Amino acid sequence: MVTCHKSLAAKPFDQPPFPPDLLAGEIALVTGGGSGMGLGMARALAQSGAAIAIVGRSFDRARAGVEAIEALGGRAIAVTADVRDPAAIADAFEQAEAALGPVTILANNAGGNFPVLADAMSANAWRAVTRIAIDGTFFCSTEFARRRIAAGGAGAIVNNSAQYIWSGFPGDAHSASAKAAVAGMTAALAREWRPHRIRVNCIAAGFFPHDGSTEGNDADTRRRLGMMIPLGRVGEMQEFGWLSAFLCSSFATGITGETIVIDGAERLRRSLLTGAFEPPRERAALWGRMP
Amino acid sequence: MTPWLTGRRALIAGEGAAIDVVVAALQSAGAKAVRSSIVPGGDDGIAAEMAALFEAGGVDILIHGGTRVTTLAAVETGSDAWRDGVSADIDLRFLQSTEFVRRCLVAGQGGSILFLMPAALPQATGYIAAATVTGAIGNLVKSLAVEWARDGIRINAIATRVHHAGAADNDAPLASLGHLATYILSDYGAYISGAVMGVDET
Repeated sequence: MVTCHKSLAAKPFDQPPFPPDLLAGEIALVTGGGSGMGLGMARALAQSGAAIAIVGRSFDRARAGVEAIEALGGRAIAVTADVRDPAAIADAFEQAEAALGPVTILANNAGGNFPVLADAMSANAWRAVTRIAIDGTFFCSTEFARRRIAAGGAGAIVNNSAQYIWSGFPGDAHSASAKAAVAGMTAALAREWRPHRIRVNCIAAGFFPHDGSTEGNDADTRRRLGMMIPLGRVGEMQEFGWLSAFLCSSFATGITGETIVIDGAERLRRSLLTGAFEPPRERAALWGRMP
Repeated sequence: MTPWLTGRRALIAGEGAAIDVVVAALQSAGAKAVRSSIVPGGDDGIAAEMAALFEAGGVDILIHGGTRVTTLAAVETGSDAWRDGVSADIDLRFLQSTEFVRRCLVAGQGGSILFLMPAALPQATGYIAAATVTGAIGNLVKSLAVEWARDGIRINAIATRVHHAGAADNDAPLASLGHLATYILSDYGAYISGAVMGVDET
């Protein structure tokens, strides 16, 4: 038997796939863009030349995102808004457009997640996760589209979903429902807004650890998480960010309504025979244990 | 075009408008492309062709467009047409990709595989062959992605209505298909494997 065990390393952030002016003149509004995956999107979009409006419930966190963009030489502003509040979203767009110009790219990233059994989940917990992802994506997308349609201009939306949208996620029913809803919404909105040249796409992401991750983000955690994944490592944030930027760019002018999964094939690992089934409510750790 | 594939060598197999677009995009991105001479039913020549390619410097990308599947309604599709248009397609993709990987393993190198195929549109008559191929190849991709992941070999598929010429009302989907394929095959797509995606299928 020939065994290779090759690891496919990620390209480093300072070797981007795109020219620095690919998104020059574009204004991108990124929800939840102050940290984690939203910041990954924001940095990649800024690296390609877009100006960024970072929207978040915490001004301090959004401001930290702005500083990260400015450290790249980019232009960004921080706006405070809760994506569940349509009036706040409209105001956020007003602020972004007053400071930067018409928003032409929307990255719907805002979300929340935590392990909990469905029958132990409070109504507030269910509503918090589903309404941020589902309502937030819908409210932001429709606000964006109304403005793009009124301006007679094209636009691009990229939604942050998850690799468990096809399988469900026991112990995470709120997020499983919400993220799958976002993928469904992607296809429907793409069809509805095709006449207006507004493209809508989605990324179903796997493990991209960041400082806010439930599992942590230290080197040992990343190594152990990587052992679970067929490709042998976790995702690097720039890989997720660059795919987001690709979908919003002229490279993807003909791509709309699609959900692209980037997870190192993690969702596909299975054996016909495996360990005894352990009901989620009997697990010591609801989401399982790292190797 | 950005030089995402500089120094890469690709073996191109199968047919379809999508193949021609992707080959042009690959070359524009810096890859060298070699066309396979294997035709449907020519399974016996697969090993020899791959051996010759690896002896001549090797390839690290395989792109396969399959065969032109029948668009007849199911009840009008005879057994020969079925075998020529479905069995030949999935056989060829399987046999060429596994031979490619066997050679990669012996050479101690990684690689990238991309299958291009028609989107399954089950609501339309005449798509029984496409739907069958897309189902088979989609799950083949998902299975092989895990089998070959630790060998540094990635495999993905793009299933699109523009696989064959004439299905698009403008050039944008085909142009973006070329960019998407190139990006996925490049090292920038290193964390993407086992994915079946479209271009504009809604």
